[in-house]
Amino acid sequence: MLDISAPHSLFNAEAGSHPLPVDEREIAAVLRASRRCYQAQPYFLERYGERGEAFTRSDGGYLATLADHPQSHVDSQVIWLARILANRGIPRWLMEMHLDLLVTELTAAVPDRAAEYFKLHCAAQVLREERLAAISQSDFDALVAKFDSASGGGLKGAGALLVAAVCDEYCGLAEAVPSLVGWLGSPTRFSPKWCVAATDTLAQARRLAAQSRADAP
Amino acid sequence: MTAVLSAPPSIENACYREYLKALLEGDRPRCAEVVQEQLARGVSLKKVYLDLIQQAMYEVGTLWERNAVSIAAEHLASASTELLLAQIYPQIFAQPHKDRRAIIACVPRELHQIGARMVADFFELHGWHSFSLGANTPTAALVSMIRERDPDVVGLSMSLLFNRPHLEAMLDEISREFPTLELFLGGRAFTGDDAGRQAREELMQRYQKLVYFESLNELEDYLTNV
Repeated sequence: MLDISAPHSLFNAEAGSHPLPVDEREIAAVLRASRRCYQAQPYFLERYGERGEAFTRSDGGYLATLADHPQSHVDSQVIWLARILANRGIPRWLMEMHLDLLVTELTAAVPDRAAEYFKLHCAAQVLREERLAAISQSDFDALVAKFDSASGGGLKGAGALLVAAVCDEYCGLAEAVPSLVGWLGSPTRFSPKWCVAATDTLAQARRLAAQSRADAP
Repeated sequence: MTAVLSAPPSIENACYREYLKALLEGDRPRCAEVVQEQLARGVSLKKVYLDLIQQAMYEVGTLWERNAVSIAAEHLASASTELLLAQIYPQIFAQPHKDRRAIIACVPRELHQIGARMVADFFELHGWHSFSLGANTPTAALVSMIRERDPDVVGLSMSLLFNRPHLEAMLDEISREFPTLELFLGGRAFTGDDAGRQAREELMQRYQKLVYFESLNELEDYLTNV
């Protein structure tokens, strides 16, 4: 798991020096998971391009190596990385998705190590629980549907990103919303109708999150 | 008349903020001035290290995590800090020395070396001869240096927990070659969360000669009492 020298299918010089898997089955699984993640969220490619996809691959490789560590280490590293990304326009909901895809692909590729990969699922669950403490899944889905209807569509998954960023903000990540909306709510990139819908969605999500805070024991 | 003993001066918040601002702007001369001003008003080197230099670098790291400063600004701050440490070094080296030697190194692949450098300086400050090998030290080079210098202590620093396998390989080699040598361990990898705490406890159980230091304050207690 510690071969971090190029050439490596997951190597990303910009990502610095960190562990990557060496098992070819794991490498292929990470590549598939990263591709699926990127394809599921066109926002990634639109905003971050191929450079972003390289980071998704190398991050996926690093996350896969965590499966060999104790759960506490997996959780702390996932939370750390998710926090850094959330402050750079990538809400932690996307990390949940990436982890879920990694577990699916890695378990299919190397079934003997399903128990190890399950640790990534548990880490995703930590993030999920924090998100749902801010806004319930039903409210989350309702806000996304409302945004899709009001905005006129155009970028799949955008509504979920907006609501997820507010959840991150509720969890103390002050840059989560500004770092996302600077791009996703920009009038130079999107229609006035879209931008109004984005502003409304953020306001509604913040009201729900504030209510959750008020209701919290 | 009763003598009034005043507390040793501390770093004031305004001074810290000014230093941090200069650090983030890459204004190395101003950083150096702030440090010298503090030393001139009687602030101890230890406080300058802990409450100004170390604290500011921790805050720079936090600001980077929050995307409030760029990675370039973080690197600039690191480079400026290393230069400042070099400028302070003559004052540290002026302390009387004794016949005690410490080798301080970062584990292989570990690129964060400021903490290790500060640890080496703390040894010097307490009269030890210290040899700081810096970032990403190859195990073979460290072993060779231990043979050559015959230190009383070897200190290893690790900032990122994913470098643990490299640390263990290094500890295995040193423990095999030098079974009675005192080994010190420290670094950000082992602070702050359960994973770091668990890792250091496992390492301490596995390596009999390994002693963990949570902070420079703990190290100073050891150096004062040794």
